[in-house]
Amino acid sequence: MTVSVRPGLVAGRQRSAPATRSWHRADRRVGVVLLLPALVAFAVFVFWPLGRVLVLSTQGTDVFGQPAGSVGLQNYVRTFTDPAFGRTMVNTAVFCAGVVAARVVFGLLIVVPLTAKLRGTTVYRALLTSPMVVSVSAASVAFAAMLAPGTGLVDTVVQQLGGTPVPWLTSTHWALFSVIVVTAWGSLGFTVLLLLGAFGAIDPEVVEAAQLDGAGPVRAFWSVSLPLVTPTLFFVVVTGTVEALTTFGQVQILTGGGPADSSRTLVYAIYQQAFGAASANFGLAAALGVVLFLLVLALSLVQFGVLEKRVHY
Amino acid sequence: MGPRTARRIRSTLLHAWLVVAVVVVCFPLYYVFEGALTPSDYLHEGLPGLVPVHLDLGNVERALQVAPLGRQFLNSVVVTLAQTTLQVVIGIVTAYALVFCRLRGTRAIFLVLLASMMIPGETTLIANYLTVASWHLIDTLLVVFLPFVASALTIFLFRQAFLSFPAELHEAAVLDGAGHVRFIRSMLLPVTRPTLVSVTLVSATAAWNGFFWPLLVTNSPENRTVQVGIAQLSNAEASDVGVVLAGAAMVTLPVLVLVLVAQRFLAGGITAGALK
Repeated sequence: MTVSVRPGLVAGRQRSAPATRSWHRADRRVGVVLLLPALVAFAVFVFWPLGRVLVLSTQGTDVFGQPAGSVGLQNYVRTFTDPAFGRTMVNTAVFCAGVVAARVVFGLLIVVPLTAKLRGTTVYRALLTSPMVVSVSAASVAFAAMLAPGTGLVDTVVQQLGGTPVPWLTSTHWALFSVIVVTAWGSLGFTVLLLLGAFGAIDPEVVEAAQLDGAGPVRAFWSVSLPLVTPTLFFVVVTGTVEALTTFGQVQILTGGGPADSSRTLVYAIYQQAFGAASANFGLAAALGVVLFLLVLALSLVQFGVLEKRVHY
Repeated sequence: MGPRTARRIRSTLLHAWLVVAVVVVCFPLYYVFEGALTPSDYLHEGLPGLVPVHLDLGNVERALQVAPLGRQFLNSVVVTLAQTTLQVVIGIVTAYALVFCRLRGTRAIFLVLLASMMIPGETTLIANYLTVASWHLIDTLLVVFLPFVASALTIFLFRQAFLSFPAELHEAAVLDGAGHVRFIRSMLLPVTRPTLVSVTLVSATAAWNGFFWPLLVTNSPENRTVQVGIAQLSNAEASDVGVVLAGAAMVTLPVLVLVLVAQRFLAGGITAGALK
């Protein structure tokens, strides 16, 4: 799950005047001890490995697949000059754009009618957010069964209705599209939840005022409601892009990056490069990992810079 | 056409649209549970197989035979319990130290935690794999949750809740001679219970659903988690749709039950860090 922190979280609240001095000293010692487990865990499993990946990306790999010797920037040169890397990045861009666009468009198409105060809204809401309970793995195996070329449910029904079966997972035209659909389906529930919160926070009087001024429901939506939820939409776009960038399970289970690498994304390329049976090369994998890190870092900084300063409407 | 008729038409259209949306969005979930209980022969018939009239437990029984799904299910329970407990306990003590212990440099520590959220796990797992391999922990249950014992999100959510704890109450407890443990257990946690419940549920769901790391660090079928188990089942038994769906249903059911029991808490917890 991708994560953001509200602006108010960063600045701590001022606490009132101290009670006793000695109590505070003992307090600080306890505090340091209590901080240790988290700091050690983050040092060992987040910051140290990041440094190690940076170093690994400048190292070669010996015949046993172990890191060996500095090779300078060779891994990066090899990566950037490899046409396969270009294709991987195009796939990744298409994948992220597809998933995020689907989340925003279908999220709005679901949430806007839900804000119309119909009867049964609670039931609709529960049902429409229910895909959230399905794990990446379960969703992927279920869709793999549904989309199995020729024999899966979808192709069976297509044939029963007189159509020609589509090789959803085994054609270079459809594989990436299918992975996009499954990934978007899995993250739609969370999008709906976020957008419901954003639309729910709109002051009804603002919308009523616009309607009194002669704006119809469509105009009121475009000129009043939508601008008011742009911070949330922006949040969905940025964190959704990070989430899509780091997608792994759907690719692994549905297509394995294939056919002919047509659904290989950046994270899947890292996996293949580091752990693929044929080509265990931690140096090249680390170089790809650094590319991923820089992309995620840039998106996170955009999020904190733009969203957290609330530069919206 | 009067305004009432117009309104009725409008609400009918909206209902129709929402029903279509529900059918499309919920269909895969329906298919998982209906298919888990319907023999594969019927499932292969296409549309007629979608009518739940041939329900039995044959798929579930076969799924448990072809893969050690029972054992893997148990592994996932152990991993989820351990990871959730550690994340929640470490989250509580870290947030407590940041909020109540008047430490210097808490802002710096806070920024470090913030920075950790900008580092994708998919980058660091290359090095983490080498680390745990050098500790000879590959293919153990311990290594499945070890890198996730502390979660920045969990710490943030507890910190946020603790910051809104009344300072006067804390001072009163201190003057009454309450120690740290007693203050946390009998005042802080009861007051911030909604956060505790929702953070625990979110942690548990994330732990239960983990896939990439467990796939990397376990090899033998009896040490896999159930999420990895069903992925391999789907690979090995692709022609037996019912078995695959039975596996998917098995891993989904616990989360579904959890959400139905505590939906209000869970929804609040998932969006708490994100909503404006």
